[in-house]
Amino acid sequence: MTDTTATPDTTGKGGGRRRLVISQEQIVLIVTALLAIGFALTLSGFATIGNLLALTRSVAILGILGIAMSVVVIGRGLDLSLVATMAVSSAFALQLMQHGWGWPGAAAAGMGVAIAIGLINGFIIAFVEVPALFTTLATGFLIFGLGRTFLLDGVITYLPPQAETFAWIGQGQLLGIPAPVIVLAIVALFVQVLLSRMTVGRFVYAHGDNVDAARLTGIAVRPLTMLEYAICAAIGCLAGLVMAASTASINMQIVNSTLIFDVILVVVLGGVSLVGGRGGVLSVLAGTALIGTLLNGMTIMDLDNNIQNIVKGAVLLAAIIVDNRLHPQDEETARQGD
Amino acid sequence: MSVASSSVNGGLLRRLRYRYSARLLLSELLGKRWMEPAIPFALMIGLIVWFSMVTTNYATLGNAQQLGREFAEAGFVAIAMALTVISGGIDLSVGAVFALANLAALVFFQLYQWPVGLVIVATLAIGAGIGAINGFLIGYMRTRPFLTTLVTLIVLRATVDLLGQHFSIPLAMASRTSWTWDVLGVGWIAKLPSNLAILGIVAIVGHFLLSRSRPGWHLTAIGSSRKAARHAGIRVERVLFLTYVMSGTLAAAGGLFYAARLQSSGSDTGIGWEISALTAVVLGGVSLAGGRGTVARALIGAVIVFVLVNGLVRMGFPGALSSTALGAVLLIAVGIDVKWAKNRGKAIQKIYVNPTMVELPPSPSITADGGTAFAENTRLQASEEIGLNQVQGPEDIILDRQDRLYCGTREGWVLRFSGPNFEHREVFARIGGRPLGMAFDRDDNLIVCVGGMGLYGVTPAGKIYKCTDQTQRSLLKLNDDSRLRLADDCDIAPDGTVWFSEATIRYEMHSWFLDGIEGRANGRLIAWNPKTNKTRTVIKNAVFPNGVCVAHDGRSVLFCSSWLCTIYRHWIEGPKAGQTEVFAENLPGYPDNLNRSSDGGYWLAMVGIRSPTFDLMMRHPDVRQRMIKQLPPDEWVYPGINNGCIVKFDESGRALESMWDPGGTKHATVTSMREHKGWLYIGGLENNRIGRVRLPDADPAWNGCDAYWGAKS
Amino acid sequence: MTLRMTAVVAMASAVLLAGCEAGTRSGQEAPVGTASTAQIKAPSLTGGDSSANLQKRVDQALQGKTIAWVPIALGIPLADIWTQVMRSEAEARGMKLEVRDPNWNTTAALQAVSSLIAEKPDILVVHNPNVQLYAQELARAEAAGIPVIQVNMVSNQKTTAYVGADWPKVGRLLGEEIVRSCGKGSGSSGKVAIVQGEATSAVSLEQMQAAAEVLGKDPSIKIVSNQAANWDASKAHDITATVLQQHPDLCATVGFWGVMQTGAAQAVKSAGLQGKVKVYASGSDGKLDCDNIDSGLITKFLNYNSSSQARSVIAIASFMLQTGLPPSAVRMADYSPLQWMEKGNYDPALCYDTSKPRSPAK
Repeated sequence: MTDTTATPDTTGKGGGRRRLVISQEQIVLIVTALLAIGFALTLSGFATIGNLLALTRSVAILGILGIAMSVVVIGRGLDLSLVATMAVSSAFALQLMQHGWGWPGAAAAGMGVAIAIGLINGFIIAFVEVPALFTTLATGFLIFGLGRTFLLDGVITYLPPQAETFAWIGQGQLLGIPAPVIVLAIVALFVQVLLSRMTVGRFVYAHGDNVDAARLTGIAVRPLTMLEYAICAAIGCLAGLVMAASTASINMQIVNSTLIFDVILVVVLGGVSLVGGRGGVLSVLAGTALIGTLLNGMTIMDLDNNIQNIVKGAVLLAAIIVDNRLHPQDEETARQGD
Repeated sequence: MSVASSSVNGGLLRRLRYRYSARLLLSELLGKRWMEPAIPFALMIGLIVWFSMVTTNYATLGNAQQLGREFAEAGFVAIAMALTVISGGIDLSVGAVFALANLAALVFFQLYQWPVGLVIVATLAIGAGIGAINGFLIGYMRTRPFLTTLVTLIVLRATVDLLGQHFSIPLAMASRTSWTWDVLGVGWIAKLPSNLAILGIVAIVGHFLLSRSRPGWHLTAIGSSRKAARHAGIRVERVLFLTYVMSGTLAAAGGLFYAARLQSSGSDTGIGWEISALTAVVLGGVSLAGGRGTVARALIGAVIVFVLVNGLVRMGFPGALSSTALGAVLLIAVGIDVKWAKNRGKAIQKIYVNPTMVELPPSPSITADGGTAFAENTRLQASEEIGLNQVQGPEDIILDRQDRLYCGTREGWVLRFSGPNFEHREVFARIGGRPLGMAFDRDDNLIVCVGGMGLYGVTPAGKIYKCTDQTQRSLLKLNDDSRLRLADDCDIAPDGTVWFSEATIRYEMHSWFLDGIEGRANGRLIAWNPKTNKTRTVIKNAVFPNGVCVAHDGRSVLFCSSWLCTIYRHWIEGPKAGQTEVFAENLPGYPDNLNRSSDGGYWLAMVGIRSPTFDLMMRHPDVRQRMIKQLPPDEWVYPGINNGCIVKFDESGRALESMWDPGGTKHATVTSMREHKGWLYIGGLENNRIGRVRLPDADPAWNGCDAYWGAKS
Repeated sequence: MTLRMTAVVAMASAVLLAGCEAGTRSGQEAPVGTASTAQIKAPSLTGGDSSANLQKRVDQALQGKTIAWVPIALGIPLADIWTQVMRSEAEARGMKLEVRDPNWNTTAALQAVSSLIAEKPDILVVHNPNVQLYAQELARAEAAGIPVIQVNMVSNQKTTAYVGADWPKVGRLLGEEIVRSCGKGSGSSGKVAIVQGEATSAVSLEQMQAAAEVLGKDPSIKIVSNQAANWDASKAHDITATVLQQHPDLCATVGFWGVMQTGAAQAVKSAGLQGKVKVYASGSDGKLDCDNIDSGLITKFLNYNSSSQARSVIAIASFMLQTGLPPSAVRMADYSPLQWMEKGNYDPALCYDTSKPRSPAK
């Protein structure tokens, strides 16, 4: 992430105001740094290269999912079915591998399933005009149920032992850097370029900032919505593949976990506001770094999983309140799913 | 029996078909608020019937009771969710509050051995407390409900698990029982499972609070438009705060019953209940946009979700598929909700106008050389103007004993012109609505029919009072017709009873001409007795009753039916009292107001002239129906309300003479006229003036007040 | 030991099994323990019964009977093996297995149980999500005359039979194994990481308590991490990866379910510590577990053999149907025999592959 164009500027709005006010992702980065210093001083074994790599590795998948989610959130959407999409599409890929497919073909097929799901989500949101919140809530059920019943053999799908090559993206290393972190970096770079350097990315910001204005200026908002959800689902599938490769299995039960809330947490935390049109890849990375540092520190302290969740909740609440202060919105006209 | 059909001849079946239109029923049904949850309600009944048919032992009392017991807790959670959704927010923490309340109740009861009453209070207080946190953040800190309650959900879930680790072993071993606790959990109240009975009570109270009380209205108002609610002086923050407190308390009540029923502190208690509750609420027809919904609808939705999931489980469907079914139903329900909310108005508009058959014989000639009393002439072109451009749409006019001229206007005022040439204009009364027909009573009070409001009176001093604004409700009409929508013209019988017409109950002042396309018997003749203050509908099913005039002898009332081009006489005294007969029929135009003339006859204003084209269309309702559906309104064929005339009748209903303004430069549409001391004053619904023409042969002293009530010194 | 059977009727499992095998001694003695059961007779067996008559009588008792089965969820190896074996064993005896799949949804699970009671199956088999949830429904089922067999976790409401592991024993055996390899005199760091299932689940709790008791006796053992991964492999993976960063000299990690512990094992492998950090798990006889043992991911595995549990369930069901005993007349438990499995040292017959069902001939 050497691209130094500050992400907020890509929103093309309020640049002057933003320069005066410290942005949310900067706050988050500062907090992360303070926290890391605190942990380094108090916890033995925190400030080692090995632990920092483990830290990034452990939140890499969360980061990838966060970046996937940020694409739709910037476009003023939300994809609650992201985890279901991820689980079903990657489990499908694994199952194909079990049935003797080569990993590139299987991964492509899984990706295809994910993109199809994304397009359907986008279609329902854009053309049937059902709010994103409820569309993806419902399609989450549908994807899980239909995938579990018609696509997959069991709740848990295993990576066949012969898929060693594929397992690299979850278990391998390059120059000592774990493969999931490399995948995260590639995804981050790709989405950053997409959002800040390409026309379609600017359109996504325009869409999230003001749908009606975007439509009036001639942006094909409806196809754009479908594209956003397709990108989101595809990246989600990639996260699923990484997850499957690192544990050599994927468990559909993950759909019922609180992972989706964690994803929203890292997205909102870094400053990708749910009102749309704000934040960027860097924001998600900042949020992910904060959560990763927190979780890592608490795991070293051997804190109970539930206490970790409570702390996470408190952090998110603080983020919401700060978000409200930094981006005061007209809550009087706000609607469900905004 | 309707007076409408008496003049109509045609195939009986065909007539019946157009009189009792299913589409009419549908359009009125769709307009009802209580029809909004009709689809969910039908779905609920359908599901129950379906599962009774396909599963064994379903439709038995025992099973119904068992299902009721299992359902009740979900019902509480659904109501909790519904309240927040109606307020324009959402409470995702209901499932977690439910779980925490369940655990807390068990710990209080089993481990701390508290008395049941204290357990109930403490558990509900926990729910209220969590609700208060949500409410404080959302109401006062103005955070977003979705994210805020999402955080509470995560934190509470973790808390429940954390406490669960502490308490699950002692709880698993505890076995305290008590009579009250068992009543809560497995007891009965009047053959109903106790939890279901209490849910019923809460639902009824909640329903009335929400739909019939001030706090409920405030809540709904905030959901509809927070801004408008704030501007209306509603304390938005406090109401929102209380809403979330209420939501938390209700969810905790659900958890309390669950605890008493199952004594189970499993860590997955209540997981996903927020999603089921949300699905239920949306399915029941509580709008996600806020401001639209009731407790009953939330419960209907909750029953659907419960019966569906339960039924699929019973039929042995794989669990993943039941959640799929739930997802599909949710998606379809929200899709319909969105599309319906967007297009409902349009849909109702498309089918609201329901033409019926009106068969009129060929119109009598109106040509100048036609030889009938209706022969066109130019007598109205000689009229003098009064208040030119000072008055907007004087539908009716009247003069008092002091020769002052009154008229109602589009602004909702009654204007008074006085002075030798009526040059002095003043606003006599600001009633509002659309003042139409007028009459003076014995005490010189001005009685005014006000479109959109009812029948009002103005004292000579200008004080406005209400005579009546409602009549009795027809039993078999879907639309509540007790309120007066379009009181049109009135006159007063010697006993003081005010007879007035209500032109239509299906249209408003701004769309009355659609009633002409419909041609249906939507109007009525009503009598208001000022002594008893009783209002009575005398004739219902009249086709656009318009002008009303009490006959010179005071024994009958004449009233016009505009679209039937007929004047009827309704006897109010004497041997024929209560009967209605035709006074004059097959008029060449659409009759409007009707007033007495000095020579014992009647003046009739015709608002427009019939055309053979429209007469033909009136014989073919299906053509008009297609026209309404397929053409934009500005291309519809309307009854010709463009050029009118004044006709004089004698007491037997024979037309004597007519007065015309063929070019329509002065009096295009004529809706009223009033004879006063040798002059005929003319008003028009759309006119910018009042006119008057000299009546050379009339009694120069005759005036309405004296004719009705006798001369006063 | 809180959940041990409190009212187990003194009845040898030999008696029980005799009921469904083609022997001549089934129902030889009236079960003792409750007054009502003493009056139960098996009249058709008295006096010179032939094998053919016995066969007929067994057929009469079993043919067309329904066994209803409510797992927590299908699609996991544990439940799939149970279901597959129970179905084939039941069908081989002319009975029908009716499965309700609540898919982890406890609300649906509870509804499934209570609606099954309304449908009156001949036997009800449940896998409890926790010790209390079904308690009332199970009592109701027995009151309605349906014998209830509980699998793997026993409810607070004891019913006809419990078939499953003796969890405290599982925990104790795991603990003792760890003490053997990481305890005093083993020369290792003595550091142990524990990956629990769901912290509130009785299965996890009892294993934890018993293991902790054993581990606590050896002062050289240090529990460096003790966290719940909620039966989730990726969670186990993340927890273990972090622990390994902190303690590269970890001696062993132990998880309370093989499927979940796969994640921890992968983390050990990714850290390059495979073979150095011992990975223990308890679990059932799924093929995955065997694969993990073969590939060296799991060092040692304590198997409670779910396919044999399923056979026991059907045997008990058969017993109840043939004797016609009222459900409350019997309070018994069949604790699953436990087997240690390690690479190159186990009976391949202990691995059940659901894609290759072992159906009996019909």
